[in-house]
Amino acid sequence: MPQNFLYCSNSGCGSGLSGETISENGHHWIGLDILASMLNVAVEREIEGDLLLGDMGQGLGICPEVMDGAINISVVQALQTVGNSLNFNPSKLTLSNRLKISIRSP
Amino acid sequence: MRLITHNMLSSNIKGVVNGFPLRIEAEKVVEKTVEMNGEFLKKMFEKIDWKAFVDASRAMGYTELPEEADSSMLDSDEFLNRFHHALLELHLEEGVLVCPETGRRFPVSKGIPNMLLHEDEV
Repeated sequence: MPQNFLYCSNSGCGSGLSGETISENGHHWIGLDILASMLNVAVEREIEGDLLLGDMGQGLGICPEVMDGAINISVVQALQTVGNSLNFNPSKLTLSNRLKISIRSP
Repeated sequence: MRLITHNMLSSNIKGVVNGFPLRIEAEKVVEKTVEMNGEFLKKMFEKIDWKAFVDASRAMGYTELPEEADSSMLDSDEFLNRFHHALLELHLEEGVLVCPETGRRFPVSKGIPNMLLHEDEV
């Protein structure tokens, strides 16, 4: 991750493992996950990022041009496999567009 | 939930035009100390919606921020300390985030806002 990245979104953050790496490198992050059980683990582990319970398929709800970077581990696979998102339709997937909107242009 | 997150968060309900900022109804606020990063604060200052930030801080019980702010204030250690505290050290642990257009209430539990939408809101 480039050193000037300071504020990241972490979709599908789960129990906060990848988020911890972000924190260890001195950066701030917002984590989003649809599973309350995983977020509760993150809370118990006292991770440093901020957590949101949300559904990626419903959009991020994060203002445009704010995040410096985005980490999405196994998010698309999870959407396709678990099918948690209401009326999820792969042909209409706009995840990357939503992420682009949230990320500040260089 | 920190106020840095609140300042980036909006209501995503279908049909909502201006879902920012969410109004805060705080039931429990906790403070957690974090190390200050002046470079990060100066960078975030350019992105923060200041009025939303001041209103949110007040809703969290913190009233030490000026109504208006400009970048010259970043040279003041006192201002940086207050900015840092409100932005990164105050946490909404229990409460509600209210959509300014619809009045929809998003519960916050254990510091985690539940932004999941109902089927008719997508």
